[in-house]
Amino acid sequence: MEFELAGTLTVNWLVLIPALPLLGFLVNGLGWVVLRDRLPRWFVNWFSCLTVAGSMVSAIYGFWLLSQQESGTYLVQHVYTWLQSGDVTAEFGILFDRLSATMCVVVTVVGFLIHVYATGYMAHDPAYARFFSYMNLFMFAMLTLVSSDNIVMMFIGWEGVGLCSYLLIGFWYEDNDNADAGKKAFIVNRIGDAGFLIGIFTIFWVFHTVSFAEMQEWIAAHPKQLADITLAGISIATFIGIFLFIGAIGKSAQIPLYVWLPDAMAGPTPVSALIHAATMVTAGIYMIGRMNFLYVLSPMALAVVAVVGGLTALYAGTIGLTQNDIKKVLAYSTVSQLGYMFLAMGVGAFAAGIFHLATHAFFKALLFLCAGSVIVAFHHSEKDMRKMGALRKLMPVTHLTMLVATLAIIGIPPFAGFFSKDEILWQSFASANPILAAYHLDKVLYIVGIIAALITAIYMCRLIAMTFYGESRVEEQYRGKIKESPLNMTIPLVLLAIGAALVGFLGVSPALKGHNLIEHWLAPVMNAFPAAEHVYGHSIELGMMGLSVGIAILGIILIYYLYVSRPKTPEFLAQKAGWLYRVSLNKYYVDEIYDAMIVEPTKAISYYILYRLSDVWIVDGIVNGVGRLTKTLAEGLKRFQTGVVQTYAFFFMLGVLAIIVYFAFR
Amino acid sequence: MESVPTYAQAIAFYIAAGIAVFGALMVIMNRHPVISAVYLVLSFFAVAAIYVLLRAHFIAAAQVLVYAGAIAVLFVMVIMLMNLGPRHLHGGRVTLVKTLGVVGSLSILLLFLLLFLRQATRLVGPAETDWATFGTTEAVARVLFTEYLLPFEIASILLLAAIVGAIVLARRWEE
Amino acid sequence: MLLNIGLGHFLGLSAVLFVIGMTGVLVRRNVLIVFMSIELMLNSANLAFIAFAWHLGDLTGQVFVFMVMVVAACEVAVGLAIVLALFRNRDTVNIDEIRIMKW
Repeated sequence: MEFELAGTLTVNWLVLIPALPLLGFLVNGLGWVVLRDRLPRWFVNWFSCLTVAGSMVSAIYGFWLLSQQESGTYLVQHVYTWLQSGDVTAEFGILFDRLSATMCVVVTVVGFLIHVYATGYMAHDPAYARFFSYMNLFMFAMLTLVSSDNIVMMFIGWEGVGLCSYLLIGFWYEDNDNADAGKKAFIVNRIGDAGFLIGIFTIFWVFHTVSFAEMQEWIAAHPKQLADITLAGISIATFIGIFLFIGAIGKSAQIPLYVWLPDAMAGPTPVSALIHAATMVTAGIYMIGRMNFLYVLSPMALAVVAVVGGLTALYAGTIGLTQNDIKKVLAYSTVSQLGYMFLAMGVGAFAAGIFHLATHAFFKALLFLCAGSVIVAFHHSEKDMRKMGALRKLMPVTHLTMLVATLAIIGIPPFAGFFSKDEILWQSFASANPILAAYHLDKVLYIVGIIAALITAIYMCRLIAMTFYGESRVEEQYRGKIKESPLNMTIPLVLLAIGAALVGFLGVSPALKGHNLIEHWLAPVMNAFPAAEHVYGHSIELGMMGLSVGIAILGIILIYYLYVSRPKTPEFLAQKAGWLYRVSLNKYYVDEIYDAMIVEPTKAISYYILYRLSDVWIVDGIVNGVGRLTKTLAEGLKRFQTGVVQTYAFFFMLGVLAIIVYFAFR
Repeated sequence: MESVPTYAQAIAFYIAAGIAVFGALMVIMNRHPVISAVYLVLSFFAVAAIYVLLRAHFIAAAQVLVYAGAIAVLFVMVIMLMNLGPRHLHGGRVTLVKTLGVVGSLSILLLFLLLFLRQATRLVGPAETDWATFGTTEAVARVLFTEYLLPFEIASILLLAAIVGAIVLARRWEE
Repeated sequence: MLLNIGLGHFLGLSAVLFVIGMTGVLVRRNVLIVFMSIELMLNSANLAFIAFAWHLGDLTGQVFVFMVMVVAACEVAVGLAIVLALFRNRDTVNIDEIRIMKW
């Protein structure tokens, strides 16, 4: 595990990458507060998009600059020493190495396209400035997260994206359900963040620093010591890894903390595209990638990551099969794809995970934006796919781009998803993670991944079939009014489609005579397990690729047969599958279970123990008791003031008596 | 008190003391204030006699003039002015405070006596005293107008203030 | 002891007069009697001063008594004026009935 830390290059404009969107937030926010409706829409649109464009240009230029350096060199900028107290130093610093450069480029490019799209989507919304200021704030937080050089600053960004998620999910807060969804997202995230914080504290306890570079220096300098430190019987690397992963479970919606993501679809569709598809939810994967130097020291932690990821990928897919809300299907699809990414990280294929993150950003954002395009065509009031159908002639651009995205996600070559998903499946089969190999979990997870791929194909084709093909089931009021979206929405769709089509070529596997550019690009920052016992040959890899493509095509055929040619199939299947269908439609009743087991007891404890007992009885009791005591004492003492002079004289006499006694018996 | 025999001094003292105490007791035990005032005068006279025994001639004269002659007379005049009738003068109820007061007073007396009879003889004064002129008007006046001139003048201001205050307070306010 | 009149006897007399005066202050309800009792107490203090002046051969005690007399005179004058005003307003000389400044 040699990591060359020697080469750093200070570049002074790196801070622009997160800072420009922050400026956008401030200007839009203040403008809205001060000017309200007099703030012109065109100004908000242009300013917010331009700040993100500025970030994008800076990120791309930084990427190019980095590519000109030696492989071990990276760019840094120290902005400000935030706090320094004894041993603890937390700074604001930018670390722009190959991993963060990749993330910044993905985040800014997709973010920029979504901002442009949103100018069309939110064209008739009265609170446009608030929306764009929150979007810019989100970009700032996300870019802080991916470009920070220490884990504390990363956590600031981590919390910041959580905050913006809450603000944006509950954007139309006048409807209680939206506000509740925002709260749910924030609170469930918080549970994960508690684990993350424990991880940070443990990191500081062990390494006495929070800076990524210094952590790696420490490990390089004390190779034996790390293995000897244990906490609660677990090696410290595993401990930290698992707790940081708990934070990732919350942020990236894995089992068991995924429940907020489907509800988050209550927010505007650009929000779903940006935050809950392309960027915020990928923070967990980035975190593991950033901390990979620690994770490779703990195959056990990575095994946990892989298993959780694989299970989530399968589980979420089964829920997505039956959902009728177009955005909910995509939400569960996101959860499932994130599971794939964690699976990749867990088997030790960090570069593959990041690669899938990048491709997924393109095609999932595209899927959401197309869904948004459809929703806009129905004037923001229809999301149920059972009331759509045969839209392909009415919305050609949306249809075509969505088709591209669908082919990408189910893994049809040459679109992006094929290369990244296959890389993950292959790496999990041939994993070098010793723990996984010991229990043959690597093969099991491969099978899980293949089944999940089949399910993905099925539900995605079902989605596109019910929306764009078949007979039209559109309601009366909308017939004749559906048309394609305006240019500021369709151009980003096209650009994203181009990305979804081409990005895959960054990671062509050697089996296909490719050079796997992204793997080589990220190799200097990624560590790896020692080589696996079995090294499988290219032929097996090619066979697997064929298998997964075959599965995808199988899914297409199945759906065509069931949904396109026979429109009655959904009801038929629903009746035949009976309880299986209901369980899947109701998301396995997980929300209801959580409500009964966790939420209600917490509310009861809060009310009875904390409020009634501690607050009212004890605290108020003490405070009021002091008051009552004073009052009682005063009421007793006031009786001395009788108004009768002789009583006072009596007390004088007592005083004299006391003095005399003192002098007489001295 | 060299030339007068000891037993004569003692007799004089006891008679005067007895009258003083008797007068005091009568003061506090009478119902009508006028009678009390008269007994007060008696007590003052007896005390003046004791002052003479103590070679405070000038002060004795002042006692008679000021206390018995002015203060007590003032008492009597004001009481008469108030024209107290039977409805103003009830007997007192025996209350707990009063009983305790009496008890306390008696105990204080006891303690005083204890104190004085034990320690009275330890004091020593200045060696040279001209007993011939001790307590005469001339001697007192000399001291009063030299060493204690300031208090003397202040006392006169005090008297002025008292006069003004008494007149203001006792005035009838005609509306 | 009984015949040889010394400082102690005079102070004892002073104590007796003082206590009698104090009893009068505490026990009697008629405000005028209370006043007179106060005068008794002052008088007893004067006696103590004179006794000490005689015992120590120092005229300062007698000058002090002089001042006390002045103060007593002033106090009686003003006090009786107050009593008079009070009597005119409330038609009572009973201390127990004058208790406005109470809780």
